[in-house]
Amino acid sequence: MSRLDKFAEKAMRGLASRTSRRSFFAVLGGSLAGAGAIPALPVSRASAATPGATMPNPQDPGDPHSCDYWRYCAIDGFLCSCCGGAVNACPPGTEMSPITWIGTCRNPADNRNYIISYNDCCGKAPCDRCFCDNMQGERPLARTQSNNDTVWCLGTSSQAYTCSTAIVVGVATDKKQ
Amino acid sequence: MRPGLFAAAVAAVCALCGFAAAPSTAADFPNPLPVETIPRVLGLPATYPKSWAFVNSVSSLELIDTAATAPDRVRGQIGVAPFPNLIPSTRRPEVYVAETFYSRGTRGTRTDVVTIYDTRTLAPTGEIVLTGPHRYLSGPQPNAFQLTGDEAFALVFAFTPAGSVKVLDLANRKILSEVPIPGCALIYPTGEHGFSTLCGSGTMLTVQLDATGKVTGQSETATFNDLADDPLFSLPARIGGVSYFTSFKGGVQPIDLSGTAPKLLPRWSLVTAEEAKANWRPSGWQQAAGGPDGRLYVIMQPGGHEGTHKDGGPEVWVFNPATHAKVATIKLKTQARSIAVADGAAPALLAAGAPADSPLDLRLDVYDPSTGALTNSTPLNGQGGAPILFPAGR
Repeated sequence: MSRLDKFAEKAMRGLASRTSRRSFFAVLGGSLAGAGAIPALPVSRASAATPGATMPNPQDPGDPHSCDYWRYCAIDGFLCSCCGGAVNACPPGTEMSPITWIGTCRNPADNRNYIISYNDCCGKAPCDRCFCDNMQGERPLARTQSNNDTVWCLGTSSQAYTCSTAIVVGVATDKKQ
Repeated sequence: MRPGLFAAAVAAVCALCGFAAAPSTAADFPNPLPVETIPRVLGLPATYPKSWAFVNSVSSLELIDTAATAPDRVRGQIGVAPFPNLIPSTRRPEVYVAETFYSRGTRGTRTDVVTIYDTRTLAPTGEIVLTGPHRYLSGPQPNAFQLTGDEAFALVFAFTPAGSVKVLDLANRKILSEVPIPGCALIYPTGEHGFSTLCGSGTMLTVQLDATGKVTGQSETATFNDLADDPLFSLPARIGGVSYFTSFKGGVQPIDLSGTAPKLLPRWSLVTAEEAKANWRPSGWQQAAGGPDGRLYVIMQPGGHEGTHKDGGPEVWVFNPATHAKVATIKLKTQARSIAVADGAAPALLAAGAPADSPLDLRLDVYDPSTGALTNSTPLNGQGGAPILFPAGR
C-alpha cells in the first residue's frame, strides 16, 4: 500500500478520533486584541511563528500528538509533532510554507481564543502519521483563508505536502458561533 | 512433503469432507491446456455498463464495477500522481486527468499536466502541459477541473493563492488563455462556453469565452452566499441545467447555469422546523447528487453543529426539487461521505463511507432508491477518505 493510500485511509481514522474527542468551543473571525501580531493579509505568514516550549506548560495543556489538542480544532493533515517536527516547527529537511490559512481555537487553560496559523511543511513525502481532520470554523474555498482542504504549500520550492503545524499568532476577541 | 504423503493427506482430507478421492491423470484429459499468448492486455468496452464508476481518491483513480463483488470489482486503474482530478467526457471515449509531477519525486521541477486517456484502453493518448500559475492541489475536488458545456474546453483552477482559470483547447491540445478570478474559487460550467466561480464576497462571478478562449463577457451576481454563518458547500448537485448548492444548515440555493449568466432561483429548505431543531444538516464531501430521475439526493446528519459539515451522515434524503417535497429517506447501512446516482433501468445510489467503529473499512455501497434496499457492497481497498464518484456508464 502506498504512503498516499495510507494518507487517505488515515482521513477515516481521523474521523473516528473526532467522535470521542472533547469539544472545545471555537470562534471565527473577531478582531484581534493585539492587532500587531497578525499581518493585514487574508493569509498568515510563517514569520509570525514563535519557538515552541519543550517543557510542559500549564497554560498550554494537552498532547500535541493527539487530535484533541486544543490548537488542532481546525487542522487537516498529519501532525508535524509526530513527524520529526513540533507543533510549531517543521521536520528537518522540509520547508515551512510562508503562506497559509488561519483558524481560531479556544485554549481551555486560560479560556482565551487564539488565532492559529496552520502552516504546512513541504518537500518530502506525506508523513503518514497522526492524521487529524478537525473543522471548527472551517469554511469552503470561496473563503480561502478559512479552508483546510487546500495543500497550503505555497511559496515553497516544492509543493509536495509533508505535515501540518499549529502556531499561535495572536489572541482573538470572543465572538461565538 | 513427499508426493505419496501429499496424495495420502489430500485423500484423507477429502474423505473427511465427504468427497471421494479421485486422483486424475493425463489419461483423463487427452488434450493439454492450450498455449497462451504473451503479452496480453485486456481492453474495455466502448460503452461502459451502467454500474461502472470512476472513483477519484486523493491518491488514485480506479474504474470500479459497483455491481460486482470483490475481488472482481476493479476494471482498471489510471496511473496518476498525488492529488489528481478526473473528468470524463460525455461525448468522446476519453477521460481527462489533471496531474502534478516533480522531477525528483517530491522535489525538483514541477510539471502540471492534463493527460488524455482513452476509455477503451485506459492508456494515455496525449497531454497538455500546463504553464503559468500552478494548478490547485487539495483532496479530490471536482470543481477544480471541469469541461465547458460544449466540451470543447477543459478548465483548470489555478491557485497561488491568487485564483485563475486555465482554458485548454482539447481538440488541439493547447492552452488558450488564463483568466484571472481574483478573490474567487473553483469552476462551475455555465452555458456552452463559459464558467462561473464562487467569490469570497458571497457572489458568483461568471465569465463567457469565445472560440479562441478569450473573455467576451463577465458578470457578477448580488451577494447570496453567507460564507460566515451558513455557507454553501462547494460541490453542487447538477440536475439538467440547474446546480443545487446545499448549505451547512440545510438550505438549498438552486442556480440555473444553462445560459450565459446564472439565474439565482428561489432558495428553499431541506428541513422542516422540527428537523432543524434536531439539527438535521447536509454533511459530507460529495454530499449531494442529482439523479437521472430528476431527484435531489443529500447525505443528512442529525445533531449537526459547527465543525461537523464534512463528517457525512447515516441517511440520504431524496427530494423532488420542483415541489421541494422529501419523497424518500434511505437509511444507510454504513455512514456515507460521498454519493452519486448512476443511471440505468432504475437509478442506483452509490454511497462511499466507512463504519464509525471501523473507519479504515471504506466501502462503496449500492442502494435501490425506490426501496432503500442495499443491493451490493464492495470494499474500496487502500482508498480511504472521501472519494469523488463519477458514474461512468452511458
